[in-house]
Amino acid sequence: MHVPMMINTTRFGPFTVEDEDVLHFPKGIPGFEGHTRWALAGEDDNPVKWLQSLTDGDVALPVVTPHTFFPEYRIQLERADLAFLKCETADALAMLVVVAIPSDRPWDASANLRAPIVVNTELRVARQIILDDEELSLQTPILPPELREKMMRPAPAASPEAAEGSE
Amino acid sequence: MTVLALSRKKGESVFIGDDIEIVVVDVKGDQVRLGINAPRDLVILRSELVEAIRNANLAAAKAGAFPADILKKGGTAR
Repeated sequence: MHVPMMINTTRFGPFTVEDEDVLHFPKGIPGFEGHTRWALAGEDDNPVKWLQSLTDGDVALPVVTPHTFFPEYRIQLERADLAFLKCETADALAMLVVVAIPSDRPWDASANLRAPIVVNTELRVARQIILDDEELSLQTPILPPELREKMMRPAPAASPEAAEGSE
Repeated sequence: MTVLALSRKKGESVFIGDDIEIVVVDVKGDQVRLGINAPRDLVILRSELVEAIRNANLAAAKAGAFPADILKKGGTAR
């Protein structure tokens, strides 16, 4: 009889994962080297999802699909990366990037475009790949400057329309 | 993992396995310039970068959540 895995997590409370939803990171994730099993969680209406560590319920990494915020984002994978992900072509690949969200300034959230997490969606094998491209920043703001500026202004606890109209 | 320390002069090299050669190209003061002959698909990174990625992940895991309504409030995402 198949029993889904259950782990107590800080962010989601009791968290149940089916085997087929586990993402395998054979090398862990830098900073979390021993954490080889993760699962993606989050809410439909929030572009920021969470990679929940199944090794330690206290650890969850906020991630986004890069194309939500950076439509132009393209990466070049080495053959060794494809081999690691047991991937023949790029068709089965998906990408996530880790975001850092300052708790007091969420509008300053930034994404690490230098080290995307690449997932083989068929085999559910993944790895954070550090790219050899100096142009890509570890802290790329995910929101455009105009929007950040708008949100930075202390708005009274009013309706969104009122906040937007105040100039 | 063990640490092997050995001395090399400018122009000398060491092999790691059969197909990775590390050459001391130049030594100036406290700076050493290394040349690395290795298969093209081998990943070679400065350790500071690896450390920076590690720190970025650790910081991200500690960070706050992203309010879902932030995009609606502020307008549309780029």
